[in-house]
Amino acid sequence: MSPHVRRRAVGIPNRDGLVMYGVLTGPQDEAGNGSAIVLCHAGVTSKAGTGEYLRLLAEDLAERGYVVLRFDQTGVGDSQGDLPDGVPIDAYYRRVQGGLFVADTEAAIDWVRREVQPRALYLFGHCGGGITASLVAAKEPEAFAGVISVALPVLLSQSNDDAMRAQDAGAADRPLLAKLARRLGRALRILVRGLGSADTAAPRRRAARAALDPRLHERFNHALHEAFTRLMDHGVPVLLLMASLDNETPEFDREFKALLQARPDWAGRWHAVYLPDTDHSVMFEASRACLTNAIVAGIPRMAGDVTAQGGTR
Amino acid sequence: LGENVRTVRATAREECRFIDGARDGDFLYARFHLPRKESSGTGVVIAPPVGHERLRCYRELVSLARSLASAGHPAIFADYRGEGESSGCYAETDLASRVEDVETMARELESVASCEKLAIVGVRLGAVLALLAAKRVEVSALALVEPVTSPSVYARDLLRANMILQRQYQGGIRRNAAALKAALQAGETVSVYGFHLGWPLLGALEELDPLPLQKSFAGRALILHFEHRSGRARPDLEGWRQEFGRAAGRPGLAEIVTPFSWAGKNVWIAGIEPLERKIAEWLGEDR
Repeated sequence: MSPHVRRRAVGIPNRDGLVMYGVLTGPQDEAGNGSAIVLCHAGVTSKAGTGEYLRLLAEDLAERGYVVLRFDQTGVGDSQGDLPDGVPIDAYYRRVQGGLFVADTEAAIDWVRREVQPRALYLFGHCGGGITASLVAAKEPEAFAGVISVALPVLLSQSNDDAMRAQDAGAADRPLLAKLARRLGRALRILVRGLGSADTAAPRRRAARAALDPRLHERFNHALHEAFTRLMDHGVPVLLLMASLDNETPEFDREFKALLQARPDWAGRWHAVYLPDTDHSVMFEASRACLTNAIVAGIPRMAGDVTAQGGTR
Repeated sequence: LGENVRTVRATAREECRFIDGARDGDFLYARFHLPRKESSGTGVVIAPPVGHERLRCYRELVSLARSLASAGHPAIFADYRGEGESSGCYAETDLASRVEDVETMARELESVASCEKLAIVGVRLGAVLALLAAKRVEVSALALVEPVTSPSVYARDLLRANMILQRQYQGGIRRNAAALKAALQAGETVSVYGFHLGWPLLGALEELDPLPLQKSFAGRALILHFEHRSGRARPDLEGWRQEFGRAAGRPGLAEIVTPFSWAGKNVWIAGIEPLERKIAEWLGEDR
């Protein structure tokens, strides 16, 4: 580890008072550059990431002046609490994609605000952690300087969980009218959730319209799209780092990218970078360097130092 | 120290913090799990597996440490240097550095829990590290969980894992085991499921013969193996068991029936309760 970096083991209380263990990595010069980044790992793993890639990334960023928090959410890694046993892992991924760890992440952000008092706060997430980051940032978009996602899944995971599999299979085989009714129900739910909040009305209307779009995949993550819409409408920059060897990348290209490109007013607010020879878990040395470089170049761009080119490779 | 949360384990306290490593400037990320009430007097160092296998059983070992502390055994479980949150680079660490880390854990546990006896629970390659550490620190008991019985075969499997990645992501095997070994000897690293293996660890594994370690260990030992169904014979482990010295009798051999698999985690299980129970009972027999 670089002598210019310091690490601190921390315990962060979640909303129920259980301790989530984390590591705060920052420059030796405590002030750093005034920016903090909260890293959300993929979900049911641990804060260092596969082959310690998140720890190494945090050290790289700390050397450049950023304070970085990585933490284990309730029930995973070192943290207290328990996730129920016996649930298929892919069902957990799906729960993560539906916001399982949003409250934990908000608690971690509150902690960073108190302890670090950053001038700018970024959220970073890998896989399902990218969805968590987007959902959290969308709840309070003015509080975040940017969101960075690696290998973001735009479709909900397929699951071996019997109920979820039946739901997916049923959705695919359903007659056209039933599909339409389902989409209508989803759109209404989105609209009803936004009632009484003038601030969220416009993005929710747009998300509801998207939910009616019959071209969207049955497992399309509408909550993510809704969050993304809100981030874009509030001008929160989003950096999408897509792993070129990953299944999530063609799904993003096919299911999500066109929705973003259809909104010229969003151009410059989102930026997709395709990492060459990179797998979902960023297991290769060259791809890790590539990822770090993309983030290091991307954050100043998000901060407005460099003109962004929305949607370019 | 934070409160533990499972009702059944409410008798334990815990803390995660950095501790000094064996060399200047080095440090380990350690989890301390201490009984809240009376201690059994036997402290437990958990020597985890290495690399991707450590990640595979991460939560299970946290759960084991909590469970042992609830049963009255102060426990420590740290990341080896080069892994997890500890200092250093995976490619530059080897067996010797990890044995030093096991010693560091034993010393730290002693400093916070004043144990009369020390036991090591070694998992997979951690079992080999436990045997190596037992030559350097006074260990009364070794629980060897799913032990790596042949380090050289284990080393070969690491290279094979890289070839699986090549096939998966590069469309075929571009470098076979011999080419990978040559590359490692030339100072390159190869990815083993994201852990960048270097020659120091692979070379040490190829050279290590655990037989003298087994023969010289004079304390109590228990070998534990995982099975999906009860009653499967394990002649490989039976043979390995026979190689232990007779000073304290042959190690026990215990089957743990669990859905746990090293190949992957398909269903979430936070802890392997039969393993936790068996080790706590076995340690308790020595009171």
